[in-house]
Amino acid sequence: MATPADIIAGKTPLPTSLDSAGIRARIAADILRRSVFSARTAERAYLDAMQGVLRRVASGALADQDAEDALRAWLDGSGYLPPEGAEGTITDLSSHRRIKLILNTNADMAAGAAQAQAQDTLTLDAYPAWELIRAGHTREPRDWPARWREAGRSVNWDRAARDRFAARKDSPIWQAIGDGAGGFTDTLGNPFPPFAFNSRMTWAALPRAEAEALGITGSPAPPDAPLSPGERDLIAALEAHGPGFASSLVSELEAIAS
Amino acid sequence: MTAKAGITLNTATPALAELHRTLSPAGRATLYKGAEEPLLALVKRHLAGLAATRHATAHGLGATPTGILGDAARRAFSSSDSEAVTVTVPSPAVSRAFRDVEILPRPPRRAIALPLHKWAYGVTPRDWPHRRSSLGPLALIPLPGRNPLLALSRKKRLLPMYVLLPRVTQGKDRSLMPSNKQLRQAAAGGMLATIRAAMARSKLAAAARGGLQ
Repeated sequence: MATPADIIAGKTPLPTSLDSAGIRARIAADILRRSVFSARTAERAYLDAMQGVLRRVASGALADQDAEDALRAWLDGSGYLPPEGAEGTITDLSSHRRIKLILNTNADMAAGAAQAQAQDTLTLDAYPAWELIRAGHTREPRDWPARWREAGRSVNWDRAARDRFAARKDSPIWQAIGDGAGGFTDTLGNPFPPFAFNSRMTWAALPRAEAEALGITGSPAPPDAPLSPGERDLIAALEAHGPGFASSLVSELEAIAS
Repeated sequence: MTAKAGITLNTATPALAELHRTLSPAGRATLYKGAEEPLLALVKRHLAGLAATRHATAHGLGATPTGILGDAARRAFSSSDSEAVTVTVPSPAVSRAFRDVEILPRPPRRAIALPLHKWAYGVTPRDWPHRRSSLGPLALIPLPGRNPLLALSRKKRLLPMYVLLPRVTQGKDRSLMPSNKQLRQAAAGGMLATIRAAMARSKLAAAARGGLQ
């Protein structure tokens, strides 16, 4: 399975002179998902440097502060000067706010994509739902209950809980949140977190029993999916140990898990 | 630096040890893959919980938290193979869950700067010109027999912002990650769910084959 660093390494730099709103309006989300980009950043070499730094941040080889230093050093070396009067603002490529936004958005997006891609039939069967949880302080939290409500309404609460930010992994609510259902314009167009710029929300999986207790029933796994070679080996090994072995194993695991 | 919680369950119980010994690498990989999701969820929820409550340094200085633990929760990821399941937290701050971490200045820097004031919290001296330039420049204050300070000049007084240290050792803090028992519980729960799901799907497949005959 791809790690977040692999996902970043597989992207292509996309130089653009568009601002955030222009990017959102004019470039398809699936192209953005496969690109390294930043608003009004047309310098390909800087995007290359950014990609290298982001890959190392996602793997843990580089701390955020060192990443910030590296990107700022690149900009200084290139002779970059922020727009007059915009020093320190989000439009200044060398500002802390801008670099931190790039680091958070890209590292979080790669982690979200890796989590979404890591699903297989057994995982979907045993852990069929996601819960959206807050992971990080923010001075002015967004109104996530309103976003959840609007996204839920827009998909008629298809496979989604109303009173908790939880939904089956294949619920259309995730794409609706990413698309800003209800008119939210700060979203990233992805069906995985972060759903919006500077968002501190992330996914944690819910086991089947907990999902069912929330009224989220069934599994996103196709019921007729063939057994994988690993599953076949697992079943064969359980059977080879004779009758009673599987129930002993289950009892032992239940004892640890409880 | 990362914090990695790797789990192998080859000797956890007699039956699991026996299964582990006889199972093919593909079968073991399936079992470990099944433990990824609950382990990752456990670690993310744990770090998210800490991020919501643990701001002691920031609060002590009256500053805004830097969000390091929240970043760690959002960026954690899992992997597995035929030998183990691993959750990786790409965060130097969380790496001390499993060991003491000694921080040395990276050349050409010669000191580690510890913040003493809310204006300095979450901002390094090298970042100062970018983020705190409106407050004025920092001045180096040598102190005989003591660690030097970086200070701001305010209203004819020196306001210490940082103390400069040759090295900093952050002690191991196991509470930054879930306990070994919690990790084992989550992994076992995932393996259990995998075995049950595989058995159920195997029965379904057998029934379907029977139905076709």
